[in-house]
Amino acid sequence: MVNTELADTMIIKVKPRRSEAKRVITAFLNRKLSVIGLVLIALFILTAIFAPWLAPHDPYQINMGEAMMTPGSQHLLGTDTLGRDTLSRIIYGSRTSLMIGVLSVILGAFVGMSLGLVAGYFGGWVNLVIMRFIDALMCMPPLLNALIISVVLGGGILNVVLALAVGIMPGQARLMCAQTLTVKQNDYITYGRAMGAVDLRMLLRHILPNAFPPLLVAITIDLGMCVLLEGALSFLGVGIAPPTIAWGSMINNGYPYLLTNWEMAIMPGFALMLVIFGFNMTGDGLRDAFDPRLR
Amino acid sequence: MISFIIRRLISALVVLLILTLIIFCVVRVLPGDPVDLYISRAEVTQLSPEQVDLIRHEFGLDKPVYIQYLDWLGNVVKGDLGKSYFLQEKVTTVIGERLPITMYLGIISILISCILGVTFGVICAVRRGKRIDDFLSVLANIGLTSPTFWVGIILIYLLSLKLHWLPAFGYTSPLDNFGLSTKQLVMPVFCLSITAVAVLTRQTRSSMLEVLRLDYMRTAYSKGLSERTVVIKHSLKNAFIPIITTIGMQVRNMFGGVVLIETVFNIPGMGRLMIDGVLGQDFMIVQGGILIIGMCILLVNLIVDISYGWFDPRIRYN
Repeated sequence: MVNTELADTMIIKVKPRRSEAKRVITAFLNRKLSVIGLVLIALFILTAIFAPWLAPHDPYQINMGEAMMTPGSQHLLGTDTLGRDTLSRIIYGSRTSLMIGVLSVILGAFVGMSLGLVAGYFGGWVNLVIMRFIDALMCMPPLLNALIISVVLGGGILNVVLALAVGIMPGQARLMCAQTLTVKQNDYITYGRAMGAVDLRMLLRHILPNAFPPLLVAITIDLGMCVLLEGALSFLGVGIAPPTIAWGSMINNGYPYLLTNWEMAIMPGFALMLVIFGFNMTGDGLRDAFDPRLR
Repeated sequence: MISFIIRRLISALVVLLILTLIIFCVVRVLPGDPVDLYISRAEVTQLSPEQVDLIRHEFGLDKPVYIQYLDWLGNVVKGDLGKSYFLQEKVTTVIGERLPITMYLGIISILISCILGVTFGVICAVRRGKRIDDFLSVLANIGLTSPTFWVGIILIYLLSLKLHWLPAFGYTSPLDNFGLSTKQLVMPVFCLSITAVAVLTRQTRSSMLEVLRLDYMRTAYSKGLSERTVVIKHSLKNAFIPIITTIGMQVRNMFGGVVLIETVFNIPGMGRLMIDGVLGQDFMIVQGGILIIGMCILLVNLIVDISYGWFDPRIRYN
């Protein structure tokens, strides 16, 4: 009798096991700002997908008769120097911005993580050669690297993606290298080696997944960074070439007309800022959710 | 310590060599021919193909790329960065005019960012969860995500065009007209500092929070030290290593920021020079500029590394 009671209390005391993924998701959703960030990103993705239905006008339609209109009932945010509707152009611009952000982070993270993984895992002179190269790229601000590459390649979408990938690649490589060095210390890696696992299997099955959480955070933050860098390049006139719509070049085009049509330069910036805010807050939320010390 | 500095200087030199080699190879791929550029700026209108070849030879552009790199490197050691194709001036002269402007702008911005960022971060950490913490944290998040060039345009619109408080753009040396120079500096310095202040606030807050919950904090309080002493001497000094690392990173990023800010505010500094050089296919300017910027950044990194030992005497340099 007494024994069963004791057993019952013990059963109640033991918490049900929760999976790590579930814990991370709950921790993430408990933070208001990260949810706001995620919702913002979701909204922008929906805007990009449904741009043709959302935009009130054709964003490419030149209409000199309606050029430089201030906001009104017909054009909510006014028109640009060629009479194109600013709101529609901002809506379509989300396509360029998100697509370039995602593509350049995929490319930059893939190359950077591969280099970091190889450098950290093999060590020795491989590490030395790769990391000196990364160090050299790291001692320039990402914007300057991206700027030079972008001008060398010219202003197509793929070239800008390549330029931005070069901009974020060194950071990813250095982080991955440090992570690999840490994970490599674990006994299960030595054990795996003793079992005769080949290098590629060790890298992909054991080191990469265990080094991944901080990299996921870095990838999310880098998404925001790439959107920002793309805006900066387009603003400097070396990013996306017209007629592709980019928020940065919209700001650049509107800049000379601040006095009469301030919306032209300032409105696209809000969209740019909100996207970056969304990615950064999501990244912050992920970092906190993954952090074992905050449990 | 001395041997540490020497070893770090050597590795910085290696990094600089790799960097210049990368840039050297990359700019050779730039579209367009610098000789055409040179000719278009020269007084002469008609040149025979032989004369063009002569100019090409004069610049050493007819040699293989690796010879050109070694030639350039040899001249760099002698303190000669070559001659700009476009500006028809020595690169050292041009950079000598532009770099002080960017340095002036950058140093003021870094100082302001450090003071404000660290102060805000300490306030947030000490008053964690209070209203002031929430307020400053939100401000930091906004600062972190706003594109600086866009903030600059908003400021120009509000403060110059609408309120007429500040001149919209331009640069005057503080030695010529201190009042005007300061007025012109307010907006660029503000824009350059936004990101750094935001990043430093967040970094200081989180590394202070790490330290504040350690046992020796309670000891310090319980032996009757004032809050001021505990916060500044016991926690801030111990929390400072990640902060100083962040400051180093921000100095690097500021060289990217000036490219945008000098464009928005039309300031003739290094950033403007770099973008003009890249757009104008001016190899010599780009190479020289990257070399000088790289040197500045590596020097800051070295100072950051050395200062670790001062903040944490447990760190040994060997």
